[in-house]
Amino acid sequence: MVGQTQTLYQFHGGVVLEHHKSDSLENGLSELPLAEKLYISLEVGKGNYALPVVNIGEAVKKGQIIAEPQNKSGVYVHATSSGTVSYISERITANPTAKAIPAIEITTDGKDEWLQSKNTEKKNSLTPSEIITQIRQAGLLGMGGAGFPTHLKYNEKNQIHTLIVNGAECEPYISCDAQLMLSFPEQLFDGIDLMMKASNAKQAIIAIEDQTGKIEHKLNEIITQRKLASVSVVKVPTIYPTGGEKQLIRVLTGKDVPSGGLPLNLSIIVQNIGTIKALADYCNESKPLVERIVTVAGDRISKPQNFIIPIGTPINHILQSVNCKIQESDEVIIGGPMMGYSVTELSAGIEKTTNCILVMSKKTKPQSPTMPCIRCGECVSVCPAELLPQQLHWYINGGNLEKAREHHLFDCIECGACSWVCPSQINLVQYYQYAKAELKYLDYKKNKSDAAKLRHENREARLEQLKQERMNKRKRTRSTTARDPEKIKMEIQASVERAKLAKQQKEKGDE
Amino acid sequence: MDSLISLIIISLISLFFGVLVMWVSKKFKVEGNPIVEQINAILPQTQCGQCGYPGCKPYATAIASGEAPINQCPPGGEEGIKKLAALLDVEVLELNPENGSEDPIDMIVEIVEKDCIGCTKCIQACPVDAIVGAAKQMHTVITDACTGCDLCIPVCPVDCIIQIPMPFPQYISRLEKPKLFATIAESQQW
Repeated sequence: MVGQTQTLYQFHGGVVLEHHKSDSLENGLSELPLAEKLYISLEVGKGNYALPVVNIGEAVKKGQIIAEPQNKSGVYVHATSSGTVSYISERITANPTAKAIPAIEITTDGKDEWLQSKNTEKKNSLTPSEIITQIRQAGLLGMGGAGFPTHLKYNEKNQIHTLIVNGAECEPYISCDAQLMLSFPEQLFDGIDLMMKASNAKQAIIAIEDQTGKIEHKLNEIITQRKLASVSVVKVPTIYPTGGEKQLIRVLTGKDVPSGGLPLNLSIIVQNIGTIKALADYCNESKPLVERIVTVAGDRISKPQNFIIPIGTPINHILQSVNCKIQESDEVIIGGPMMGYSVTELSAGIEKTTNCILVMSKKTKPQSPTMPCIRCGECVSVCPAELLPQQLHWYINGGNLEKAREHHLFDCIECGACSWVCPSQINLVQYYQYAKAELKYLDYKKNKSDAAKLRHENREARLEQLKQERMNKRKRTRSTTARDPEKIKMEIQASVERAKLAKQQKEKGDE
Repeated sequence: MDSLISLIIISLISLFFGVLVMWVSKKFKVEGNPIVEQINAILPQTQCGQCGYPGCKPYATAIASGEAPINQCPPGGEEGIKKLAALLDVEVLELNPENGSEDPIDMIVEIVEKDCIGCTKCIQACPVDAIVGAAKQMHTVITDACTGCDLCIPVCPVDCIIQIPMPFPQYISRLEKPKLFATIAESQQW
């Protein structure tokens, strides 16, 4: 549908930020020289690791499966270039926790050869369940940043009516999604078609930022060309964090995702455009998710640009290729300036969720001391999740984490809008991250202690039962052995007589 | 006369309520001591006996009867004492050093399996049935069920039980609490 205007709604709060996107978009999309070594993380969903199916020294082709999921929620992991497997071990990857996790190291041979696939014909007639299997085989994880296994969102039993295609990356600098829409619009529409089939959605809404005019025109052209009646393009205002799943649903439909719920509760699926394009690549060309578009920007990058980069490419290789020498006063951030996290281990390989690498000089971000909270309430007015950030901070700082949970701490999307406006320069999000992690830890311990209590009680009961049984047994044997004195006398008499009889017989025999 | 009538009415009313109270107290009788259960819920259920009582429940009973102070549980630590103090409305005490000290990281035990002789002594000592094995067969600790009470360590004749840090699922990774300056003076020192 083209030209139809849709009523938009507002979400609570949010902040208007400077864009910084046009620079990297103007420079277009290009590729980087292949890295010598690729470090491919085996994390497929949070805390879920795939099992390697290759051995050290084995030659692999691009797109070959190198690790298989251990359970249904995991996805497959593919080699992202041709070469040999040189190492399988735990490594620090570009992960916010900076923990060492299982990874496969591939030494590339420079040929970048694809695995010869058996069927390359266009798969038009896939059934929904087949598409869901394809999603899993393509190794799709949510490419917007959360890395949620995509196939878990789809189930034939779910009644989905709307597929929201999230092309509204609202963080400054990150332009990889916009670039994707400019460079691969055809594939995007193929993917939307597949995703709609898989979810049985009746309509799809492509949400784009209102400051990107070229894209809307391009997408609408294809819609008219293909005569798509159920797909529409909607421009949403660029207020951070419009690109957040819950915020985007609110803006487009006016509905709120319930606390602790999922978009599924509203019969909506939100999908990042990168993920959708990757599905089209797999179904049309049998190319699994082995590369993604990454924005390389920041004030220390002379020519900000978007690159197609194989998953697992080390960050320092990327920075070298764009002629950026890291100084000590520089900070390398993965993700945007609001929600991103700084990395110190620059040999880490990029992941499927890495959408942007920012190199910022620390001088750009003047640091001033954190002052006490003055309870001005600025954070309340910008919080898109409609929480009370100052109150949460108050409880967490005082160690009253349970109270913070009661105030819906877990609905916080960690967008950082509260930290951004805080006049006391308190990094509020850090508190929420700390509290969430701590609460999860305490819950785990509580569960464990409950289980221990049950086991202990069961053991006590069992020991008590055994003791009782022993006592009963003893009582029973005693009662059978205890005898009547009369009976004893008679028995003695009987045995005496028996003995006498035997004696007499013996005497008789002697005679 | 008036006073007699009112006396009778009042007595009847009191009799009625007396019977009602008796009936209610029988009908809705609470089994056990609820405060013991509440205290027991706060205790860490390691059943380690470091408090001097044979398990968490006996210690909870002792606290409830006023026999024991609230600061004898090292695994519960400072947090546990604070919770107990809040529940019982008593003063927060320092952990009694006689009972041991709070471990900064959670530990559990592991059997060095090649050294195990299969004596079953640790199985009998384990308060939560977290050790499996049979006589003259190798024993092993069920990692998920072990509370880290360390009761099996002293009974092992060949010292093959060692402490290891408690393994956590991947989604649990504790972070350090961010520091906040409480006063402006403090922040100016920064």
